[in-house]
Amino acid sequence: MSHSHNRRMPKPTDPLGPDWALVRPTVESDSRFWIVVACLLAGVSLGVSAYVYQVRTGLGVTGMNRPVYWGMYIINFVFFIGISHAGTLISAILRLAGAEWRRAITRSAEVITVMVIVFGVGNVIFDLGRPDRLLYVLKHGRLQSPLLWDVCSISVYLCCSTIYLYLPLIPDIAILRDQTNKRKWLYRMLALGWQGTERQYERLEKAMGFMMVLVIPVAVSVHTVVSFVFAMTVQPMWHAAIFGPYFVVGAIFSGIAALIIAMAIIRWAYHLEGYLKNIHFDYLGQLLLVMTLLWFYFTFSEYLTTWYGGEPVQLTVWWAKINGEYSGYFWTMVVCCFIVPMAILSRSKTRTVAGTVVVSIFITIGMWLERFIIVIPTIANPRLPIDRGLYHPTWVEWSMLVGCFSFFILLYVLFTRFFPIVSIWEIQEGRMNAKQDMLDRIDAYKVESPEPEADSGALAAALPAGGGGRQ
Amino acid sequence: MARWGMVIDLNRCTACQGCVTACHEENNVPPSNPKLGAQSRSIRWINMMPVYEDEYPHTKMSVLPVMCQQCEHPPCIKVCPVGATFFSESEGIVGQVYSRCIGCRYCTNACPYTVRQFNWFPPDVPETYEQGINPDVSVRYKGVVEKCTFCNHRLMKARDAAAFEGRDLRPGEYVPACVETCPTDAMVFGDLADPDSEVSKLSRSSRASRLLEDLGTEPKVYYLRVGSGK
Amino acid sequence: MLNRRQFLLGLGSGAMLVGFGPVVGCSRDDERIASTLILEPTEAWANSICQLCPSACGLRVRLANGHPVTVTGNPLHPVNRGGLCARGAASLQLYYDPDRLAGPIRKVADAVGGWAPIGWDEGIAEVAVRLKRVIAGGPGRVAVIRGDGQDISSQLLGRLVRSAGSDWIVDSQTPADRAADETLRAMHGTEGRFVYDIANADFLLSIDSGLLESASATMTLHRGFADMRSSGGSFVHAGPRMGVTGSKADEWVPIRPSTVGTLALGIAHMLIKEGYEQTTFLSAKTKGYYDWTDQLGMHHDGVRSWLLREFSPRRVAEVTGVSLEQIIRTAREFGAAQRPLAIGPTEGPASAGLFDAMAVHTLNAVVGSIDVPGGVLLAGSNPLPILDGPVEPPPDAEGTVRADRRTLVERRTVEELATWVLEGRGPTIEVLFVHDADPVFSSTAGDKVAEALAKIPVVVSTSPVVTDTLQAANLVLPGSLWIERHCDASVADEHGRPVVSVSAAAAPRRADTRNIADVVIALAGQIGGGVAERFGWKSYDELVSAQSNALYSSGVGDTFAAAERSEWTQLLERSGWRSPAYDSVTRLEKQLHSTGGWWDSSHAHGEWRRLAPGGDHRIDLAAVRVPARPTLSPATAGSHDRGLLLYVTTEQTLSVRPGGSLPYLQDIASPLAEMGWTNTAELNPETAHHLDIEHGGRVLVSSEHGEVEARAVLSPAIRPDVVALHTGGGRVYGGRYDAGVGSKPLELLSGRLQDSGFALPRDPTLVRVKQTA
Repeated sequence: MSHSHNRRMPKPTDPLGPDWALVRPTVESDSRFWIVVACLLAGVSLGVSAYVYQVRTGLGVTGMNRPVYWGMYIINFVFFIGISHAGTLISAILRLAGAEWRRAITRSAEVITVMVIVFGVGNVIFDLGRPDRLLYVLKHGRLQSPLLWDVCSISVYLCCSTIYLYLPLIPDIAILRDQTNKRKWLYRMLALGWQGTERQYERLEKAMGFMMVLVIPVAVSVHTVVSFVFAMTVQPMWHAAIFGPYFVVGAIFSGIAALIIAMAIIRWAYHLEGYLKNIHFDYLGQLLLVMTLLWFYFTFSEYLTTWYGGEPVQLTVWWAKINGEYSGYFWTMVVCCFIVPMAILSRSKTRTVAGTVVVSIFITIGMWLERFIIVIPTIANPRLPIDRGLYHPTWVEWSMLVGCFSFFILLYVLFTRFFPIVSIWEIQEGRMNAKQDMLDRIDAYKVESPEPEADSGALAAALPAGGGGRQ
Repeated sequence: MARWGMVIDLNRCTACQGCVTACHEENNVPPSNPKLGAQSRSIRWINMMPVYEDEYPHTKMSVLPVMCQQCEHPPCIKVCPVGATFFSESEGIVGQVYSRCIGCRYCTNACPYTVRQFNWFPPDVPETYEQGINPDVSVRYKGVVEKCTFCNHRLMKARDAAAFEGRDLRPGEYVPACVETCPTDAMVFGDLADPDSEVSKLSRSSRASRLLEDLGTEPKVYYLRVGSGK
Repeated sequence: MLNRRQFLLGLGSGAMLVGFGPVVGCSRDDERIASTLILEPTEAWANSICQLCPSACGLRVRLANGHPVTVTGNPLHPVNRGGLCARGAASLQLYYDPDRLAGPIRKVADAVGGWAPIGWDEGIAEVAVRLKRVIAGGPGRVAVIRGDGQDISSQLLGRLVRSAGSDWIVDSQTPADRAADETLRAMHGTEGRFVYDIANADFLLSIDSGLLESASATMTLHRGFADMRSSGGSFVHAGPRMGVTGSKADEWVPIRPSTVGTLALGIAHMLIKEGYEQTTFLSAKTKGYYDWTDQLGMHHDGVRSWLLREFSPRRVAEVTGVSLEQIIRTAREFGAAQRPLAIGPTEGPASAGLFDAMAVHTLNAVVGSIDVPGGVLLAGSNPLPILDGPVEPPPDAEGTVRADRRTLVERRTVEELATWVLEGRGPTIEVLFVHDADPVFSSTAGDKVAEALAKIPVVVSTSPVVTDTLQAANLVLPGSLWIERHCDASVADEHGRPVVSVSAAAAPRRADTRNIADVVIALAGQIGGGVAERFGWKSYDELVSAQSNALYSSGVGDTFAAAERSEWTQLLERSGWRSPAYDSVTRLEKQLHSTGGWWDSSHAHGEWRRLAPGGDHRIDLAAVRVPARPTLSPATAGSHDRGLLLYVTTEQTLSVRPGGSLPYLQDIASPLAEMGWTNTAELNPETAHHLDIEHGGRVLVSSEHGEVEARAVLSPAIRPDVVALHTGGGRVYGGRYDAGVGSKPLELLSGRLQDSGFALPRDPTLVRVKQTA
């Protein structure tokens, strides 16, 4: 980031003023919070007891069978890893692009990544017949297995995302340390002696700059590698080169949807309408629209090529999805992921907070169904007619899904209770410097022109999707 | 460098399933029950696979006993994250280490022949069966994958016996339980690497083919289709 | 409300539970497995004889630390030559059956479960006392229902019944076996067993034979079939359903159910028309074929004229539902073959009839395929004395019994016995033994049989496992399984050569059971008098020695040997040399037990004195017309709106004597039905489409007599007007692996006793099929 003009950076001791609203959730809790936590804990304990039951009895308590050897856990794994793309990747791209409107949303996005990735990995562990031998993956790991690639890339992604979440959190922790009196020991420790000096900011920005560049390829690799788990086999409709980018697009797609839902809840619960504004939802809605089209494009390409090629084994699976046992899932997915988003997002009138949230809910469901449609029909229709499987998840698997969601939301809620969910210093910094930064930037690439009126045209063209200043 | 392989002559096979129960008896495959059967979770190392062609009344059908095809390029081994399934370079047998398997079932999904089996539950074996356990084959517990191993415990035994007498393994000394039991001698087993062995002669028959040959897995189980011809 | 500390504590313990729960759970499992592994077991091998089906294959049992762990075939045994079918290979599950009876039990009204244990001596004494009284009361009051009388125990039971002055010896045969028996009696005038020399045929026509999936004697047929196909023989299968048999055929002819006889005679008609009849054979070896004029100058129609008149291909095509062209082509191929052979139903409670059996035999006679290589043979008899014959002198001083002359003994069916008891004609049967049979389960009129059994004061079952029939008994004296006792079996191999298997106990007894032969000898001894006199042996072992003596003195045959050696022996014997592996009775007995038995490897063709003992040694083909009279009514046509034709098949995996829980077999019930543990209703996809039935869906099949549930299996290998169900399921009583598993399609057939006969060809039963939930 250039410092052509004289920038002032926020100090942890700066008076917060109205931004106190961002700190309030960490110091005050009401009974509403405890009720939510209790409900979520109930969900978590449902999941935990289901898992204990499964471990004791065997994986037979799930709906999996022969040949449907993978079921909801693997679907959830792909789904959660997909959701995790909301955060780090989007935040990194927006930061890198210098999109000013990012300031209020990056934190909530990054937290999703870190929290949800745990459940992505967790679902793979739930799926193991022998979870007690989990560490064999490290002890006896064999690198030619795509599962090992997953292990590597997901752990790198988890580390990077955590660091990437933590770095911009440091100045905010320092604010909490200096201006609140709860958990002082924790904040003191985590703030790493942050005082907001210029040198510290310089280092922070350098580190963040490094991480945001690093995290993008890692994030892309994660979902590509997740797709490789399927694409590397020779099974019909898994063995496709399109799977890598298809999964990445789907991941970002579902990730944005999840982010919109999370933002709407935060905005409502903590009354942050002044920070998470309608325009954020509008912009994210536009992004979602782009992803909708991209997703459709990939889906269309995949299904058209499979159908046109007309290989019998492929077509068996194809028909199972389009017109067979799984057609209900398939067409619901199309409605959820394409028709509803197109209908609502393509008009600015309906691209409101409520509109985008509704769409996001549809997309989240639709993308879960997409994972189902990818995983199940292929293995349920093996090449040889030995067995034809049907898969219906059991209460154990549903409970685990409920448990995962509850646990994820619980962790998220707890995060908002410990740390500001909107980056305070970045808001402050934006308030102090953004306008000047934008003007500097425009100046930097402005074409010197004799006509003065071209200036405004250049400004409009130069603004990236929702370029700064309009808030 | 032996390449153990099998030829199944469908002219001689009568789908009596003697191979299936002999295999299960030999390999301590746990008995199924009505519940497991209804859930499609019975463990079967050999499956009878009916293949239909054409429509009534011109229907053609063949029934094939399908066990692990012992691929030369097994798709299952590539994907195993912990090396629980391995390829024995010297014998050409795809083995499974039950004590290593973490039960991720990646191999079961990667196998295009769907012949790998998973222990969904602990084996539901009545206590009275315990004295009947074949001591040569380890018992599997819940959560691991298992499959046909060409009875490689028999190979080890036969090898030991030959080594004790200070000689090489003779043809016919090592055969899996299914081949030993086949009442019509439809199954022939031996070393495909030996061009003069019966199995390798039969594998070159014009009636011989392998399952899903186009996948390039190079199975070592050959089927001789019904009909006349060498 | 939760405070933070409690909350965190809860969270922590939850995490611990998730983290360590599995570890603890699983490692305990590993320990359990480790404890079951036996290091360096002592290993031993022993012979036995599988008696799960009438093949009686030789077994090699492998024992580890004295317990049987695997079985394989006895390579020396001429019936199976080292092979085993699914039943034999799974037979140890019967030995280790967790639900086997622990010992003798007696029905007691107030005991838990209705049964109470009883000591062997007490049990035997009780029956002996009763028998003594009953015998004193007059003849005809003792009966036995038994498997097939191929072993000494069954024969001794028959002998006991005869000694008690009764001829109620009922062999619980399948209708097909009984039809074959009757054909042999009516046409050949003798007893014995047909054997199909499939191996040497070059064209096999199976008319609804169920050869590969239903035939009860698996080994003898399967091995011959494989040899025939390997040597290039052609094979055509006619049947309503393709089945495994049809899948191996060059052509499948989809006929309507219950039209076997009509098709056979239609082909015979074509053979005559096209000049393929073997006139030399027909005029020399048969009677009633050609028209004849009797002494009074009356003209009589022969079978030939009758065939030409009644079985025109057009008419046959109409009845069987097969195209004219297919019938003519099949007939031509059959006639043109060097060694054609037709084989009719070998099993199947619903489709087999006397007319079918006789018609197929007539077809074989028309092409001269009787008593020729690749034809129908009559199994040779072994030199052993018949122990349950009707007329018999007491044993002589050495304890041996002189052979009875083979006479035609009247045969009775289970249904006849039930009718006799229920209608109360003649002397009442007061003691009934049930050995190796489960008629309440296997008869089409099972409930009537159970009703009859309830009227008999003493019903003694020898079953080692719980069966439906056992439930109708008062006293159970469980026999030892063959694997745990000295045992024997007398059968014929696939070429009709007599085989006598003998084997010592291979494994320790797992329950308080006894050899039924010893039990019968003990009973006879306690009854005393004339009965005891006819049982001159101290024990079963002594009787086996006596049998060895008979084998030795017969001067034929040899103990089992490797196939190559047996061929050599055959060659020598043909040139008048004989060099058996034994030179004394002691050697013979030793050899018997070490190799597994004795057989006569030479089979002579052309023994017409044996094949047709009657006056002119000819086959009486006219007999086919007796049951045929009402047949030519056009068969009822099924359709999805009128109702489908019911076709009941038998899966050999499930026809296991004496029942019992063999989960390996239940799991693989049918190689075509994808799944075990349930009954399947096989339907053509087109029919299923009309009836809105999905593959794998539950269906209800109902006739006017009953209804059964099944799982729908759609297959293009079945006629669209037919629904096929298989027997073997639906036992009410049994072990954990068979009681209540599947359903019983026999309930769809008329359950009346008089309909359970087999003499008349039945019209097929019409059923409705609809999908439930």
